[in-house]
Amino acid sequence: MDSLLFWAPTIVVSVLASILVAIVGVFAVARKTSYMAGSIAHSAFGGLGIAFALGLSPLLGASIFALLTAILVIWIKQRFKAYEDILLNGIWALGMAIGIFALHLTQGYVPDLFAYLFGNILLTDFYDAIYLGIALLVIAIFLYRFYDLIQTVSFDEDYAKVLNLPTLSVSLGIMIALAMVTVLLLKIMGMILVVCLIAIPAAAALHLTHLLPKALLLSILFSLTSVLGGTGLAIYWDLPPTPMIVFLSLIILGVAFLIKSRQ
Amino acid sequence: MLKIQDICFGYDANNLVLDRINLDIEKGEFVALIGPNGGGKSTLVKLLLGLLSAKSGSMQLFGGSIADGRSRVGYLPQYAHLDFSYPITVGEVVRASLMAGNPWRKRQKNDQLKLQETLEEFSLSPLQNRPLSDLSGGQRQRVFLARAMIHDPELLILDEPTTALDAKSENHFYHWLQGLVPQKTVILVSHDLSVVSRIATKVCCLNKTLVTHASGESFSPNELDEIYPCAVEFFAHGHPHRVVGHHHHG
Repeated sequence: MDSLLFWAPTIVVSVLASILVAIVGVFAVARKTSYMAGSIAHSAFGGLGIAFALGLSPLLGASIFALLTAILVIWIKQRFKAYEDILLNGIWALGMAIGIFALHLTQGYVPDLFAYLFGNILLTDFYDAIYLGIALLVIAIFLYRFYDLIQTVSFDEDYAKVLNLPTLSVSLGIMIALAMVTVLLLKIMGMILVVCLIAIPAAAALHLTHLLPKALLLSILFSLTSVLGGTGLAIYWDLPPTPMIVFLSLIILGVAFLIKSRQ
Repeated sequence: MLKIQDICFGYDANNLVLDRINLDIEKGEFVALIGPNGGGKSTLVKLLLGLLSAKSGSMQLFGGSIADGRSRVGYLPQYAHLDFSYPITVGEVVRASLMAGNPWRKRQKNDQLKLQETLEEFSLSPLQNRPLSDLSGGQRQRVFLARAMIHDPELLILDEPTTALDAKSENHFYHWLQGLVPQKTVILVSHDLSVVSRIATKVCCLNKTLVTHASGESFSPNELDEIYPCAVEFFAHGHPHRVVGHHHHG
């Protein structure tokens, strides 16, 4: 009983985080924007560094940087399409550089930024669960209310413009959701795991089906299997959870490719 | 209905794709837009839908701005740029146009009825819940036509609508299109001069500049030489259909 209570926050947070990242991941992968999660996550690292240097909340610093990056990414996509990949790599590197530079200037206690790179899903509390629960609820409400709008803009942006639909707001909304989920999961999962889980379970799901509700369910299933399975194996074998989760998600992706190639 | 005055467009300052285009389209007209590849047909369509901005000149749609009027247009684009692996169903694609001009609109009771009727009209009912990626080129073309028609538009703009259709479907399509006029106004971008000169009320030939003829009148060899840079062979169903002009290179 005591053991179950000890692991309860980890299990609840793992389940909520897996669902959240799986849902956002499906839209990011389907819209071919999952690589932007990398730019957002690394720029958030810059925000973390500055927040530590100024003695502010790291979550606030990361959120501001991630939000600004989301807006910048959309602007680059609209205005500098031809240089998109170069500019996104620039943001990626700049975020890390700002983070390391700011930490170098930080007086006194220097926090372990390594934790934000690799996270530690075993060190979570119920506050994390509450934040994730609220984020999941907000995203579910938006998805339910604006399903047709999101689908139309995501599939054919030019046609959506002809219909006078707010294409920029929808793209920005999706990018902000991606940024916020990335920031929320940064401390729990770490940058590497967030980038991995946004792309891989969703890619495996979308490889098996082109029906959105089915893809969402499969993505959640694959994400849960990777996170809970990887964490379970890590506890059992006394190994770090992040690599186990990454390995498991890649095995699932491989199996999905194998299943599809045999059909 | 549509008034285009002295429109110029170019991707860079020294190289105009469209040069001083003037065109008036009245309600109930069937206008065919022909011309060589790269002549600016799709560019003109994108300009009059507000997807591109003209360098100079003015346009009026339904007596107002393009932005105000374009949601009353049924548009069938060339869809080569679309990603068909995006997870969307036939029903979702077709239903999209019901949001025309009102993005915050909730689904209404008779939306489903309207969708069923439109899918029925384009023989798409059994495909309603199938992902678009499962469909053939011809089926997708029908889906985009249904999307262009479901909101009962006053003006229909079709950009090379028969590219994915076989001969039988193409005939059926042109027959259906003729039946829409004069209740609807149609702008058809096409390569098939033999067909469009038979069914259109106005034929506009576009190669940077615009030459317009009432239907039935043929373009003179000199005009065609000017518009098309080489011998004009109109292709239909993948093979030469009709040679309407010759230009001797030397």
